[in-house]
Amino acid sequence: MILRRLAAGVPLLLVVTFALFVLVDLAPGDPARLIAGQEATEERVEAVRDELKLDEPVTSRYVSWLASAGRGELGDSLVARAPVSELLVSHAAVTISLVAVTLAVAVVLGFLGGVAAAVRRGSLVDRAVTTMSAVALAVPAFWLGMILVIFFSVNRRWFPAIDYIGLGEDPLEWLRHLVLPSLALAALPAAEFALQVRESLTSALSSDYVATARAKGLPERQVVLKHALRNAVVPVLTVLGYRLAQLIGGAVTVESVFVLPGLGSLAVSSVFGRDMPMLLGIVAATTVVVLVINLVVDLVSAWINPRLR
Amino acid sequence: MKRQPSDLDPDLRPGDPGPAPRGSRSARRRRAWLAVALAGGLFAAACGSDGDSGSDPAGSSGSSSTEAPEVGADEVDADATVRAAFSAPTRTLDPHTSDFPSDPLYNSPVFDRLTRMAPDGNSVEPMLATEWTFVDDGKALELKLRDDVTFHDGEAMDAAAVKASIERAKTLPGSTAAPKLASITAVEVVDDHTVRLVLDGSGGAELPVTLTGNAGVVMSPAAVASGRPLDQDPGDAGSGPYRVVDFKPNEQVVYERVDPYWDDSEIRAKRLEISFIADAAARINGVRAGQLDIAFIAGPQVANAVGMVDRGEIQGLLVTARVANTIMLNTTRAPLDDVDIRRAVNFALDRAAISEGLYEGTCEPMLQPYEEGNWAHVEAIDELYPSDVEEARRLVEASGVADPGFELEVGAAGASQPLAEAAKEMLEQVGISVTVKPVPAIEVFPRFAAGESQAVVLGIVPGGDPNTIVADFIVGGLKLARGDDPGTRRVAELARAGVDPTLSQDERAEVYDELLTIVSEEAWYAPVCRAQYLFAHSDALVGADSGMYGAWTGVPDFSNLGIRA
Repeated sequence: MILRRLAAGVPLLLVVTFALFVLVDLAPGDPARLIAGQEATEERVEAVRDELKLDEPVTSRYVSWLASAGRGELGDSLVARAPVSELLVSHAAVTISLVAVTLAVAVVLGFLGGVAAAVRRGSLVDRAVTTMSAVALAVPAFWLGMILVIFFSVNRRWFPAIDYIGLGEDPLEWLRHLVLPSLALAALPAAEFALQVRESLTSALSSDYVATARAKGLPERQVVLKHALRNAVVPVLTVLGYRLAQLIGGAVTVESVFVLPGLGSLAVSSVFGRDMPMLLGIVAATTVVVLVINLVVDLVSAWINPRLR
Repeated sequence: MKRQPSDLDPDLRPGDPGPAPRGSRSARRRRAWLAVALAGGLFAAACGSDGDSGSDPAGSSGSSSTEAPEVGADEVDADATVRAAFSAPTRTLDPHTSDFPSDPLYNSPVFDRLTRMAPDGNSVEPMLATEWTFVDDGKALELKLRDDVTFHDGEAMDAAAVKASIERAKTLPGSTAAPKLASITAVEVVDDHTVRLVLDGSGGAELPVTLTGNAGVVMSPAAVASGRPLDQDPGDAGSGPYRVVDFKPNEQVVYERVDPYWDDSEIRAKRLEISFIADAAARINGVRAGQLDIAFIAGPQVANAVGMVDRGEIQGLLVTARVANTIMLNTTRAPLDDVDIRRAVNFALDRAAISEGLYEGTCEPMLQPYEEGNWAHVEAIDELYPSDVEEARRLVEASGVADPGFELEVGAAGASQPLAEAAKEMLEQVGISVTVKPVPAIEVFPRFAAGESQAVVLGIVPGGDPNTIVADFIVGGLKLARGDDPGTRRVAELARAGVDPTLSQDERAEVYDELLTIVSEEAWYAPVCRAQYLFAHSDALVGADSGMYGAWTGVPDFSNLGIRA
């Protein structure tokens, strides 16, 4: 089943990369000049055009890229002048860090809020959770990021406003540098999780098996955490998988606000620089990641709830 | 309105020996003070602004340019790191193949040049060359070199190194310095510390200024002989105050101080980090949060940052740069082939309103490329096109052009787009319909040069010598002079005359006076306003004052910054 699902992703990968090729080709402007630079001589511009075979049809350039990619050669970035695969790895580490911390923050906040709201439905806690979730759903991540920077970096200097430190260099600084960006990025998924958990758990708590558990005299904590939450978590996992894929996209704006050298920043600079090899590498890599995430979510959902197998 | 302090030496001629080796930053600051005195009440008024944040942001925020206290070498932390951020990245550290105007920011800390522009951009200072003279009736430029400079690899900087470097600049595939050195036919070593650049007779008066840029970079002969690429790792090829220890193209360059350095009068940090941060708000936040020591701010964010300086949240050096936001008009495409329409465009623009409305006063209205105080400034041009809607309407009617409309191309999503929209509104009030057409920013220049566009908005850098604007925008490059009329022919003659090395600076000024007057009277362009940039910086930073080299172009040299101990 896993192999079948992975194989089904191949056509999608082809469609996405070809669409990118066509879109970049249709964009106005001369890519040779853009790549050669503003001060480049006409001879240099023509040399770049020849080197990149920009005079050839888009289909033949795509087939040529596909053949190289099939051999595992993604080429060199035209802007950074380094192998695409190396740049992907170094920048992906930043984005993975950001997404991982964001997800952890979102899951913790979402579950705590959702459970608290569900077990005290109609209370002040419930109303606070639902109101804050509604606000969080409406606030763009980049705007929240800027507000966080003003309060916690500029006014208080508790957390850095920009920059990134690798996990290997200094784990504590790594985390400090990710606190604000991950909070900004986590607001939306945390709100979604909270509302989803609240709904699922409320439904589970009013079900017959929960009534039976309570009738058996089990403590309320055990009823909620062991019986109700286990069934309530399945729809949340689906949202989590979907949200994880979106987080990779959402990281673009947050990475810009906090100047994090992740895949989002790399994608933006590659678009402006018409860095086709780099863009194709990023798109192919993120497509594969999203396919794998979806597969993993399906597998985990089936493991938790045997009825889905 | 504050101006850059001018320390122009009006008697300096291109053929004269250059001034004595420059003094310390203190000496330059004293010269700046002298210039401030000469500038009179204009500058004094700016500096005297106290707490009046709304009336004159330039003056109130420019305090660091002249009011910065003197800092002795012992007051600067010798082990500090200066963290700087700029708005454009670099892809190459090889000055000879630099492909963006901002590249000197990144390679200046590593590579010294033969000459350099004075901090105000009005005169040429010695750097590796101590003096220069045109000899043989202007057929050669002879340069005397310093005798106390070594490259980072230990090789001596001498005439042979200059010869090797210039020959590399002229022949390296992809060299962007080669066209600037086209008038040099040979480089002769006279003695160890004297080199002669033999010229082809087509000009060369501009060479002392040309040699302040990538064309004047001198590299270690060993590095040149090795033929190894320097774009990703310049290694020990330079003789500058820093060497590169880490380069991430498009992201960051990290430098480490080189000791000893021949110019020990300058402030230097132990480490210098220059990062590319695209978002201006993030750069400002970096300074405010204490993560950056200095950040370059341009465009609409300048007014915002000036407000922060006024409120004391950050320090800032506000610079009126010689970067001219200009509408270029194609004189061979109807209706702009009619001089009345072109003049109407100039009269219709309310430059002061654009400056206030779009830039909150941080873009100085202008009618010509060189500011007052520069030797190529022409006083009469400043009176040529006052904002006059009635006169513009009269000219449009007098032209008899039935449909005086044109397309105005502008870099998509760039800082010039609001300016194009404002110009459109103003021109439509006088009966000239304008369609603003966004195109990729890098295409704006070549499309106009190829005659494919009717009009474009460009931010042009007229440079340190008027030949720059002539070569890059008027006769060559953008090719504003493209008609077949007496004015165009005269401009071509004057362009050739202006680079005659036997002329004194005063004589050259006369030539460019006539040339720039023709361009303005024929209205080949419509200058709008001169950009102001802000260098936002921390309290602890030392050196971000009027002595910061290159600030007048908006592409500074961050080599001489330090952190207060």
